[in-house]
Amino acid sequence: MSVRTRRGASTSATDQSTSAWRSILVQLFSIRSTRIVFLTTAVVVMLAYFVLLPFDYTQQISLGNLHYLSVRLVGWSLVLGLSMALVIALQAYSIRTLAVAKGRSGTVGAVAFLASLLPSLLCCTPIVPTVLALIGLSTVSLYGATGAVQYFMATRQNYVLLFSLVVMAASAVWSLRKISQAMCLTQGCEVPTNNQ
Amino acid sequence: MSSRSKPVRGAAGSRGAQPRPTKKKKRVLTFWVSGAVVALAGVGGLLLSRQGSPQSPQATNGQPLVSSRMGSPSAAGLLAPNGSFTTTFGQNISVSSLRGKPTLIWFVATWCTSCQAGTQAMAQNLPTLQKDGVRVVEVELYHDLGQPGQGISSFGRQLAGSQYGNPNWIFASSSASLTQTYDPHAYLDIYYLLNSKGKISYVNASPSSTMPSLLSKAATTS
Repeated sequence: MSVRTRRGASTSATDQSTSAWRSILVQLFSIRSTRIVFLTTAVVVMLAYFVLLPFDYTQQISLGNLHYLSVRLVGWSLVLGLSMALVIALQAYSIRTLAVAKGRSGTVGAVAFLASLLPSLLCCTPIVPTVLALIGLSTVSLYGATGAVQYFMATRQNYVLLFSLVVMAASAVWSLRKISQAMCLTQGCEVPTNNQ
Repeated sequence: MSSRSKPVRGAAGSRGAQPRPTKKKKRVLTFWVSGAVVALAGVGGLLLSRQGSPQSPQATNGQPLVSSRMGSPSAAGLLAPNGSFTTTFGQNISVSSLRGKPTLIWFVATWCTSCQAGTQAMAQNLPTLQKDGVRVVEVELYHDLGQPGQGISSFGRQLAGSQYGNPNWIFASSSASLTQTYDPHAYLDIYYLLNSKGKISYVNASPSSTMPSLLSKAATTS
């Protein structure tokens, strides 16, 4: 598929989307209030990750968890914190400038945030065996099931964090798409046409 | 809402006007129905599990082997149930043979993150426990709860550092019955502090974060 611009030039839809999204991001960071939202969210979420990601080492939420921060966990905290901040800033920008946001991308971002904490919160805590016992597993099944779930959480944390990052990125892209579509109304846009 | 979607359709020029809200309504309905089914299943499971008999470990003669308080802090005050474990040196030892000296018996899985952190914390605090006359027995849960973890021997060597081989810190593998008796709820990283008479004086989990309270209990346990 290609698009025909109002000037009559033809460019690929991908190039057009990319440039539109880039201009939205430039505009977003040129506004002081959304810059503040982005930076505040990034700092708060990163600090939250600094304390929460090492939860599986200590089984408690405390500043003592900082002792167990590794380069890997710091890296994940930075990346996920910035992604979450972008999702929230886009949400704030669209509410402020276009009134198009309904909170869906923010909700998806929150779900991704919670998902990213699952390995830390579920590994090695009594949560998994307690839930499995409530479901009614027999004692023998309980050992196998709790071992399998907690082993997965203990050894596959990077995959779960990667999944969360992908969800956050998808949420940001979804917001960008919605904003660029809404801008068609107010500022005009390039109309997609089918290739003949 | 309409002001949001109309221009989009106009810009794309290829989407129908009516089907979208219907599909959306269906999705919302499906979401709430699925949520209700899951919630009902959870409540049903909870009720069924409460109606069922308690899952206390049973001895071979059908008599209750231990109190259902095992695996929780309320086990403090009970006589430590017997059971056996095999040390990394191949010795088969029973819990009852540990009497005569305060002992910390601690159940870990070698793949468990907090157990690894706890072992490192224990290596730092072993001299204090040793000063209080407490011996540590770190026991791998039976077959690492069925998961592929490293052996308890290499686990100990890797994480205990220079303290590995200290006679006051025994690394061992649990028998199935010992795991079922001391860890009936399949919790990870749970420990029992036994006094010299073989009574449980303190129960907790995760020494990596509970070391200060463990040390203070150990100081008063004889």
